[in-house]
Amino acid sequence: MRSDVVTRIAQWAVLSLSVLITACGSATSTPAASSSASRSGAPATASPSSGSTSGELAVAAFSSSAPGQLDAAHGGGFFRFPSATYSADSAAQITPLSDPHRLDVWQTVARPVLTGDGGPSYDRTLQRWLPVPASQVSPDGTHYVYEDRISPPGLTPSTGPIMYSPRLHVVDPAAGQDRIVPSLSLPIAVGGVSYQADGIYLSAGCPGASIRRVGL
Amino acid sequence: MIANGSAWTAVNQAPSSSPPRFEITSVDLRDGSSAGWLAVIPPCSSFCRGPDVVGLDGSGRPLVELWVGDGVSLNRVMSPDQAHELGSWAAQSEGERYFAGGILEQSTTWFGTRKGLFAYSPGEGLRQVSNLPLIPADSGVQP
Repeated sequence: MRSDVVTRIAQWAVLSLSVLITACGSATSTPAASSSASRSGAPATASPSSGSTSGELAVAAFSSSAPGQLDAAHGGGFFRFPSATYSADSAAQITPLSDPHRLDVWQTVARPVLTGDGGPSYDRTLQRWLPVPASQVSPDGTHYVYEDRISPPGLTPSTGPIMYSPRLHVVDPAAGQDRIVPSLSLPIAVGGVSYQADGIYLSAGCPGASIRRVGL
Repeated sequence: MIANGSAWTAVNQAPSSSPPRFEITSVDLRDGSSAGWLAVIPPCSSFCRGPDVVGLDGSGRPLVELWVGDGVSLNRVMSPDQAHELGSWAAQSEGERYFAGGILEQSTTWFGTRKGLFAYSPGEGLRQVSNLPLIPADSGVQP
């Protein structure tokens, strides 16, 4: 396994991955600017329409909690079109892991239990739900990657402020393997993760955002 | 968003004390070269939010979410600084993206929102296919 920084963009760079957007705050409270993007075309407001294609799309349900609040569970199912019907799938359910030493970790309810950091997404190769967003699943569907954050040994949130360390896991669900990527190859703060055919791409936290590839 | 060997970023080019001035930029992951696609200066009042690349169409062109106050629009960037608005909605930004999921399957890009599921293809345009709050979640190889 090797790790190399593919490119370092300047300090103001912000990856447009949702996790990093939240962390780095592309939303600002700076007042008053002017104008907008240069763009053309008439505005349009979309309305429900079945369209002409047919098929099935795996979908996750938006959480019902308010933005920024933790959810008790996530679910999903299948949306069929053009009938526009949705069927929830109990196998899509994921729940937060109760471990004070690991943050932001979710587990599938379905067995064998898989661990991840969100989702769920449906893996067409393995024909099962995974506890990660679709972008964190390898293109061939055989592996996925997730991040968790762990507290130092012997410390818990009740003992005071804790600096959690990120860990990156690569999971082979069929083999039941969960491999931890050596921490030296990781940035201090992982902002976003994307599993591509040539490796796993990480965005480092702000400031000084960079994109880093972890080859496999 | 990372796809097809490129990372799509929304870059705030303004100094820290200045009003934000964003540029949608693609970064070639093979050599680190970058190219600007769309300049965005969001009008701000008490709160302003920058753009996000929320998906790609079947031709690899970025689909960009833009905020203007309590309104959000989805735009297809045809070429550098040439964008076409596909739809607009009244919404509260509340610090999170309006569109989620951004999955391209064949020639259709699917998006989820809290107000419904959308599909976009160049031939059929942008369509809201459901009022349910769903996020596209397909991964792996199609059977």
